[in-house]
Amino acid sequence: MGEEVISLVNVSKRYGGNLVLKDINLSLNKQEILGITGPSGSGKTVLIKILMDFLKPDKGTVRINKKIGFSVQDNSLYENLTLMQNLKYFSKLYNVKNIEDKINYLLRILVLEDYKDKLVFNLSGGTKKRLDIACALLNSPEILILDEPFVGLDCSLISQLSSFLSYLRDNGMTIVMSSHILDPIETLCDKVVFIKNGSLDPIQKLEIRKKY
Amino acid sequence: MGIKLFAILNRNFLIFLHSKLSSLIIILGPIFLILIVGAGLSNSGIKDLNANIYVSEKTVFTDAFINNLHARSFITSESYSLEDCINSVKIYDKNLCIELRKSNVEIPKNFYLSSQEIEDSGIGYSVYIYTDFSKQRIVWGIINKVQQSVNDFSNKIRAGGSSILNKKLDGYNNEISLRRKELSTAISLIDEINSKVYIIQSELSGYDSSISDLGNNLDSLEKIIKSNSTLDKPMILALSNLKNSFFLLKNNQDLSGVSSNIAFFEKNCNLLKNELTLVDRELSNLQSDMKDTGGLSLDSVINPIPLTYESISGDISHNLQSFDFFDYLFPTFLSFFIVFVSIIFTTNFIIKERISKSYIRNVLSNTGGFSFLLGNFLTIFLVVMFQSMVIVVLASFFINLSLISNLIQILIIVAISSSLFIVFGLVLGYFFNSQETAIIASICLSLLLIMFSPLITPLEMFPSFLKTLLQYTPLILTEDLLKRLLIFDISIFMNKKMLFVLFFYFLVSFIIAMIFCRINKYKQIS
Repeated sequence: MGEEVISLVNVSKRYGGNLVLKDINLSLNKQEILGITGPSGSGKTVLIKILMDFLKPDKGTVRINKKIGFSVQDNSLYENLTLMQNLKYFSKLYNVKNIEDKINYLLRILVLEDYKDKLVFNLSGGTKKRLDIACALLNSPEILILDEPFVGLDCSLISQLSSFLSYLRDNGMTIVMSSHILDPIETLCDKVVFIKNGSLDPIQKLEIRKKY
Repeated sequence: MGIKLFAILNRNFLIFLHSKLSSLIIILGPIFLILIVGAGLSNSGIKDLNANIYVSEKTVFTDAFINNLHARSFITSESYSLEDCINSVKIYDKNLCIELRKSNVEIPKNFYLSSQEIEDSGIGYSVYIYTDFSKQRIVWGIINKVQQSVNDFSNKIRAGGSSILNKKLDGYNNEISLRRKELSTAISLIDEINSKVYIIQSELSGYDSSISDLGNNLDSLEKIIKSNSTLDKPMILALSNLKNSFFLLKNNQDLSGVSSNIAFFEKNCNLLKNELTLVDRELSNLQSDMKDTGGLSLDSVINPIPLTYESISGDISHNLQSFDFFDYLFPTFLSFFIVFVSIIFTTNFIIKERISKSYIRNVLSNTGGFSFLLGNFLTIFLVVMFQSMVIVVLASFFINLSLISNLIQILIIVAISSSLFIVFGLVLGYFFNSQETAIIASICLSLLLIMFSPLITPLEMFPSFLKTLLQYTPLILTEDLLKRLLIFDISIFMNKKMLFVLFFYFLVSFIIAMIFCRINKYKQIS
């Protein structure tokens, strides 16, 4: 059993007057991929934002031992900057050492080299998602949190992204991702949790489709 | 922090650069603005004023007045009623309505002008101007221009009147001089008569003169008296008595009656002489009084306290410069530009960043909120400074103000005031959560500041306590500093207090902006 890197104990969160998360308990070990699924509005994104430290829980404790990187559903990028300019800008914000080397490495492994001088505005959805993940990886995180990473991608891109996430896991990365697209969850995740009405239900991968 | 700050600045300018419209508006916006405003307003006074004129009855004077307005570049038309005339101003068809109202003036008999001449000269007419006082900038010009026209006629009437009066006074003076000369002649003749009487008396007392000699002397005396109208009437009776006595003497040889009548005659002569001398003295006094009056300019009596107004622009050594409308307007124009661009641009910039997709990565990047605040502040500050300089440099081709020689001081004022207004924009940008609300709030704040500008609402219209407060509003301070520097040549270092007040506002506002930025981040993650 690997090292526990994420631990949520009795986490609750109200959002807009509604109780979105109720007493969530969750733990994840190093080099595991956790899939969070559930219907729309079930609280997946709120849970992801709590893990990213973008939202504070009203109750309970969140313990994350490692450095995190994240990618949100809408991609956190500047559309009026080029791919390269986005990477350089966020590298400086993250105090990245050897910026050029780091960026070149990410461009290579995410197959983005051909697009580096293009404005993000002109990139396809899949390329934008890869760039957003590249930005998430700039500060060499040990935990990668992805909110709906497969939305808007075709089967081929989903397959490419799944392979890449698998590659990251194999290289020591712990990944948490929310998705209501079930195929990659089934094939990729080591753990799957189902959220409905703010409550968490750990399930076996084979049971996922029955829950919907 | 330096690297992060530079990264934020670099990001902002790259975003401007990649958005072609943003780059164009940042560079071309102020260029177009100053070119359009400068070309339209430079060397412009108030001209081609549309005046509607109402006169109840057309006369030579009313025609001459209208022609005079034409000569002063008025575009005139006539109205058939005062109501129509005023309505044409209300519906912005005309700039002003002029009523030439005739009132009855009592003219003294034998006045130097005939009644027709009086009518033609404009005496008895009153000029009424009806204009829109909300257009404060042109009301002054309208009054001034119509006043110039009215003055043309008033001066003509005044000059004519004073010239006639001067002529009349000169005539009376000459008449008095003539009369005094006659009096002087009469007095010297009385002296001559007295000497003759003395001879008669001596002849009578010596009994050695013959009666016939006496008769001859009386005849010559009568001739002298009759030769002068002044002596004739009062002395002819005494002479007649004397002659009767002489005839009595001649007939009766009674010399005592003659002697007493000579004494009576002599007494009358002396009395008359005294009276004539008195009249001469009075006339002399009157003449010297008239001379004194002549020394006083008639113009100063007719127009005792002339009113002249001069611009105080230029330095205190009265080295007055000739400024046009746009010269006076420029400090206000620049202040308004700084207010609008700084507040609205900043608010929009901040709110756009807050709702942008990348905001979450910025917030979670372990970069302090202060870096973003400062980075965004510096970005907009550099843009506003650049735009202001473009305006100042281009304006120097259109206006007479010493812009280039005062460039450093203008830069200091623009830097401090734009910093303050940018911080106002930061506060609004971090306070409001929706773009629409933030933009409306920034426009309202800009308008509120501008409403208290002396261009829109003179401070003198407010109660004294409010006036004291309002004169320290940021826009008024900026406007005042620029006006003092550019129009009155007063260095900003002579107005350190105003600079310090602006800087104090900036510091306080910056602290408030930081608090709002922090609250905003807290609200976002809670």
